[in-house]
Amino acid sequence: MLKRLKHIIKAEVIGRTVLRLSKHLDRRRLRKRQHTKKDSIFGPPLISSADMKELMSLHYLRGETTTRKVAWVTSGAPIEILLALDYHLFYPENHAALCGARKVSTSLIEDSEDFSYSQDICSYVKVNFGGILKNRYPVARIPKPDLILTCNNICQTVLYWYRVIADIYKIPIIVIDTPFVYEKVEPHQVEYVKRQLDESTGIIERVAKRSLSEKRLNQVLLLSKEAVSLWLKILMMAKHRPSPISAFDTFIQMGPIVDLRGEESTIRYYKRLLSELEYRVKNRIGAIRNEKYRLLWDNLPVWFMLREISTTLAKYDTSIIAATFSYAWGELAPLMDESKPLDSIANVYLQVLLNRSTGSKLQTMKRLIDEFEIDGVILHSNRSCKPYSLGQIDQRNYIINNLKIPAFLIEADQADGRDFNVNQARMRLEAFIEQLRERRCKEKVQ
Amino acid sequence: MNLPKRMDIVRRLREENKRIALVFPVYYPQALLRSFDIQPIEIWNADDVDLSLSDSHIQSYTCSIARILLSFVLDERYRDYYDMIFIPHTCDTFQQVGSLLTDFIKIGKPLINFYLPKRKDKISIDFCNKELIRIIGLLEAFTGKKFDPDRLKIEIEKEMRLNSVMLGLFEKREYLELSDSDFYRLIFGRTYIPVEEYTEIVEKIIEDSRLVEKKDKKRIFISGITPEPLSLLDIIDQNNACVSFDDLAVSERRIFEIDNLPEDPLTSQSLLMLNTLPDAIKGSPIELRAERILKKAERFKTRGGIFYIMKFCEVEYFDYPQIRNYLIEHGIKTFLVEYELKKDISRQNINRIQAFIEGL
Repeated sequence: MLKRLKHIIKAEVIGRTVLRLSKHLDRRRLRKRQHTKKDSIFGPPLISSADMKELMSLHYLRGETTTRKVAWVTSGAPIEILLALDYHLFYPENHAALCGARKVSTSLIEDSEDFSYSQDICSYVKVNFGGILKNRYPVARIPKPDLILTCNNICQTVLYWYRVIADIYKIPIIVIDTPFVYEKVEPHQVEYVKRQLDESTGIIERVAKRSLSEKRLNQVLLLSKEAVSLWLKILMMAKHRPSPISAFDTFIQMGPIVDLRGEESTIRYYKRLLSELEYRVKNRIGAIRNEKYRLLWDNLPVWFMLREISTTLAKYDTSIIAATFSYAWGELAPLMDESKPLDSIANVYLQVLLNRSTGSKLQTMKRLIDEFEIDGVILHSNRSCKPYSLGQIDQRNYIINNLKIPAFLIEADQADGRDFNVNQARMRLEAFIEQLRERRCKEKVQ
Repeated sequence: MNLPKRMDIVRRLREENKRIALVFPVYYPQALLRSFDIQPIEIWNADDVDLSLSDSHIQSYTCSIARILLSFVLDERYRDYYDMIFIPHTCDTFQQVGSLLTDFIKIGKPLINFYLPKRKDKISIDFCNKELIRIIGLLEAFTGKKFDPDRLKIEIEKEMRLNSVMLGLFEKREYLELSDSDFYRLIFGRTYIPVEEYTEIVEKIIEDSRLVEKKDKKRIFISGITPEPLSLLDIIDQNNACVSFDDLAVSERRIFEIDNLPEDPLTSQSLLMLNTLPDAIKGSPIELRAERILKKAERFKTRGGIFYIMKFCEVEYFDYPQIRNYLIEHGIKTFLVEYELKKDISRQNINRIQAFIEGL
């Protein structure tokens, strides 16, 4: 009772009020910036970002004092059943990305290495372990889990990672094992995932001490579907010239679709963002001032270098307008069918980008290159993410040789900046832009 | 110890017109392949390969097994040694290599990717059975033979017999008249020698060996994927220690625990893969793996172990800190050595291993 009261006062009354006030101040600041700094290489900032900050901060704040059951989940996990049973969800990957973007990931990574976790394992994992093992959370306090749910449709790493969490906290772990789709989805694969979902419901109910309502599950699935569809529409806005949104914006704006899909607040937020983007399209407001070259990004962002990379590119009138990573959260919207919840969840979560073959990922890239009129592709060879990175060499070669589009591989890490050489990366980006220019000149001559 | 060499077996099978499947580690339906008269030859390492072949397809932050295996497949000199490739889903890296060989690198041989479930329950056994049915369809098309459930039963019986012989070998290893490096040469034999022949070899070695207890030696265990380079074992031996048991993917982790086989041969084949000892590859709880090591350590009076982990092998990296803590709590010392295949153990690591053994 006392805990609940504390939560209401801290999160719902004080926190909410402070965040709302902060949102208004942010909005005012962002509005002012719509009409100033004409010499800036970037377009005006998105005003909706203020709302997203409020939405995500409130989610983290609620987590600190929540009285709901807490589940830690992987980013590609089927969360609809958990949401329908009113769990508060926490995404260690999202938190690690946040730490990376705020440039506080390195110390957490080093903390986990002190506990013998190798330098060569995923940096997201080490950010998470660093926090847990040293009880140190520089960005936001994270709630302890009552249950963890891991789904290996994004990598096998999450399987090893969550086993360690289960071992540390001695809590139930649910593993949704999604067979890798080498060619096409087979009925026995869908059946396998569906049966696991069905079985997991019992564990989720037991921990929650309540029963799942089918009506509520359908509602959540419907909300998820709407959020994912809106997210896809937002990404599609980048087809316009100039693109009103950059891939860097989408990396930030994808917070709600990862953490809060299935919630009404996400739909409200994405509707607002979409309408801002429509306004920008109508008024030809681009993410950068003078968009000449449009790029596709493959793999997770280099979180600690978002600003540096976008600035280097924008200086040369180049914008990354699409990314396989952000697209992965929208492309499956048409497969969601609330009338067959478990079948639909199984089918959708089996087919996420990282659970499909290297050839299938290339097809996605080809589609994006075509639809978004892409001039060049940057493939982030990410030491932390083997399923995303292994295959990129052949994908790059195909893009260069068959699609005749410049593409290059940049080696980095999603959250560990220790081996990253900023100057070298900048020089490589500049050389790549030079290539784009040459190609454009040749095209003009022809 | 007279063990046929891998190439001798390959040549012999070729002369006998037998089909050969080149198989990636670790868990795969061996009996099923043999029921189609296909001899699986596993490949965990290769001496004469040019790693630059794989460098054109996968990044350098990939484990040396994957790089060697892909280079071997890409090397045209070895193409005549096998008829098909079989890649079980072992980890992210093998998954991607399997996918690359399906979508981008066509080498003109049939390739089967097999998804090994990462759970161990009724649901995953049912899935595994269906995955086997899918594979049967591919094997029927490849060989032109019909699947014969009775033949599969016979092949499964052979696996069962080998499993019990191997259990005996591991039980008696401390007393066998075999050096540790010879012991692991014998273990590697399992990866390429036909099962009947291999079973007989192991039985004969157990029979012929004069049982001598290595009382004076310090006992240690090793954990990891493979114990290569085998010079590691010589270092252990030179420092008056011996390996009393292991937690290696190529060795003891392949032992399965099945009392009674079900009537359905497909379910039996699934159980042979899923009911092996705890292993991170299959998502077994860390606690089970740690408990198994502790029990073995107590039984074989072993006071320390070397975690011999291949660089970039996430599967092995993850469990180490938890298992180490668990073992330390129970008085077992552990030590981690990182290595890469095709590279000698560094002087620094040799010194560290010596110091560790001295400290036991």
